[in-house]
Amino acid sequence: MNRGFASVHPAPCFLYYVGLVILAMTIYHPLFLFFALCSQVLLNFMQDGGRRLKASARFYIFLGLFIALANPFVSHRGQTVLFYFLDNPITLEAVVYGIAMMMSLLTVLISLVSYNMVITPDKFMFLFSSAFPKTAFLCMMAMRFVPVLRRRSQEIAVVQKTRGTDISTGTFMQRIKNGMQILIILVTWSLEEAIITARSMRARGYGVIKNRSSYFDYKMTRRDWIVFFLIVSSWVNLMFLWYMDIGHFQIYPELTPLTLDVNTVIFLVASFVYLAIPLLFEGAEKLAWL
Amino acid sequence: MALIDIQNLNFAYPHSTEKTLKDINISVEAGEFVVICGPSGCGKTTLISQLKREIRPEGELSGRILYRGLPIDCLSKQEAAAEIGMVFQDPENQIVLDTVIHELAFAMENLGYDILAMKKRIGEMCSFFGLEKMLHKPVNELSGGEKQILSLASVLLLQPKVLLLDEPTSQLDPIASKEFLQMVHRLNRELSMTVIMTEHRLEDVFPLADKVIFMQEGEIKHMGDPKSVSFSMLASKDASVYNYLPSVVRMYSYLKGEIESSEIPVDVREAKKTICDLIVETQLINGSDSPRSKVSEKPIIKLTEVCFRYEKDQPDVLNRLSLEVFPGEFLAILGGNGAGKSTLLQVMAGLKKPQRGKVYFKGQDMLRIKDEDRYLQIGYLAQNPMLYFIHDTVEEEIYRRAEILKDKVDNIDELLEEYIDLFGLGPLLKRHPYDLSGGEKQKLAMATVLLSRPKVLLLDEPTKGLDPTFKVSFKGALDKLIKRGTTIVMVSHDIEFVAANAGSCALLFNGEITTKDSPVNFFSENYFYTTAVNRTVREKLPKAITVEDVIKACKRESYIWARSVSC
Repeated sequence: MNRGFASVHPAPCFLYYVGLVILAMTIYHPLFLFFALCSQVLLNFMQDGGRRLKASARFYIFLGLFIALANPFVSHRGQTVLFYFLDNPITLEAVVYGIAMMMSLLTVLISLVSYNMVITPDKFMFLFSSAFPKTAFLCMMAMRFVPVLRRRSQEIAVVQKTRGTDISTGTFMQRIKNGMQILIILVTWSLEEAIITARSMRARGYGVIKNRSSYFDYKMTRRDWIVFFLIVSSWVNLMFLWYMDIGHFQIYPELTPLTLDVNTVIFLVASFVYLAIPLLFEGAEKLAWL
Repeated sequence: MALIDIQNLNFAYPHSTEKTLKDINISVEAGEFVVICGPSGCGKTTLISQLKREIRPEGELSGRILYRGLPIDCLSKQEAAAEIGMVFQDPENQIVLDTVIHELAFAMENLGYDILAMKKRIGEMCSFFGLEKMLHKPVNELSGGEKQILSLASVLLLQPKVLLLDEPTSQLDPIASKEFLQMVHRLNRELSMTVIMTEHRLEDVFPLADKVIFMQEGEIKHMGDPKSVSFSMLASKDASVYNYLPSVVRMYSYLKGEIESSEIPVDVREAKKTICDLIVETQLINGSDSPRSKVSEKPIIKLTEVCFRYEKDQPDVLNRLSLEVFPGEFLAILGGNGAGKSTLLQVMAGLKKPQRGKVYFKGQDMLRIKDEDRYLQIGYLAQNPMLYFIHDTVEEEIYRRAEILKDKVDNIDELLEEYIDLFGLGPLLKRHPYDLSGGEKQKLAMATVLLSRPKVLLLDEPTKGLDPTFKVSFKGALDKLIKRGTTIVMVSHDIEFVAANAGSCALLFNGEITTKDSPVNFFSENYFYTTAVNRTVREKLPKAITVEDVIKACKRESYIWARSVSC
């Protein structure tokens, strides 16, 4: 499915997600993290109606709340004490830091959901096959064999059950023994079959020339270059602002109040530019079908 | 000049005194469709591998193989890989990568084609084969037939001049195998591609071939166009050769005293013309309407309203299925690919628990019987015999199994000797189970299953990939078991085998058994799902489904002989 953001060349897309993860882990600005999190949730909803996100939403919420709540109880840094819990100070700074940590982590996790939709295994292979061609090829072969081996082991288990070799009954040791037997059959059988695979590979000229070519090719079009430039420049811009303490937000040792001064506004505008890039593509896609 | 010229080829595997190929002389013209047939182990696969340099087996070779007038070794590596393409027998294992598009590109990537050339060829090939819809599908979601077509397409992308096919349809069901052969036929006719194919099911390839080569024990016994090969094979008066001929040819030879080479029919269409005139003196058979084997009243296995599906959200594989199997019955269950035949068999074996409905064994609820007893009484033989082997030799495989069963089965030593004899395992005892041929593996697995003296034997596609000679001996073994009172249920695609041997037939369709009847009634009412013999003679002898039936109807003396050789 190559629509919206996924229609862009995989290299800028990949770069975008890497950039986002770096930003989310370095910039501990609650407003930035909040908008970043919102943008990723929105992106997921625009991409597949949030279907994949919903599937694991419970886990994300649990994990986020756990981190946000655990931090103030573990860390007692900070000046502003809210109250004492079992003689331990609970500080405002630790609470805010916990929330920032939660948002940072959720942004990374949720962006990975969208990443998986955009960078399909094919595109990932394309990105890395030029750098590590052999590893990429091995990965593709392995991906084929995972379901094959799973099916084979199920077949063996059914047949061996009729011989009293069953992994679902018996004592613990007996089960391990039976499991080993099934594994032995699986390995011998698979090695036998692998000879056929090897013959088929040789018959089709594998190893004839040193550098195999790759069918998967995405050309950087002008649009892709523009996106690439936009991603890189807005990312550098944002990091530069952060480095220069423009829009700086301090949590430890004492929380600075959140004011909407010029610097913060400049910083937020720069963040919006970066965060909005994939949303623009998804939005344009939606508009085209209105 | 012939495209491929094989001159005085002799070949022996290392450490083997026997030559696998003896004095082979073949010349193949460009655009010819050559079929090499013969019993398994006759050297046909070895012969075809000699033409493909990359996979040529190690061994002692003499003689010459010329390709376009030059020794085949003179080809450059690239040329050899591209110009001679090969598709193997096993659809599962010859596929290397995970998705259809990766697999298609694999061969071209190996030879370093540039992207534009690859895109053009893949685009063209996909429209020829109709692969567009599955282009991005994972390979493991394809059916066996689709996998075989994919392998063929991947090879063809290199634009080979010669296509080598090593029993490409032996693992496919009849419909998929016909589809595959049609595709090969099209390539041969439309692109004038030279095709060399090994096969032991001649029924479907006979009408397509220009040249048929029959091999036995490493030698070419008969060679020529289908008609003249049939003539010389019939003239040899050798029962083991007879079984390789298509049923229409066999039928013709029995009906006609004097055989004329030009008259021999190679397909149903021709057979209708020649054979129908020969059937004069007919006695309409309405005979074996009742099932062939004796049936007593109480069913040994009974399924009532069984529903089964693999996962919660998936559709029912078995849907309110009811079936009764009687003691001593030989029931064959037929049905399309993915109709749930194997699943049904596993439910009958008590290996899968249905979500609804009951399975009874001798009137007792199947799932109430202790696992151990159930598996002893109901023998289940899966499609792939490899799943059963855990030891290093055939001997160990059988004796260890017998040792385990010693306390539960009486006179196991007697039984053991008997089975070694019955399945012809004697000469194989010291071999590794993996080194046996497909048929031998099947028999070994069956022998170990039968050691527990099961009342019921469930067989999953036991004749898949077996050559006619093996089928005859397999049939012999089944007959002995039936005589002893073993109930046999098999699921199969092999219409010819079922028509000739089963006591009753059932059709599994849409998750239920739609009909259960004697083979005669079952097949004679079908238009498409029936034997070639029935399709040929249905106007005159609507109830005849095997060569035997036709001859019986015509009251020829050759009947007795025909009965003894046909399978």
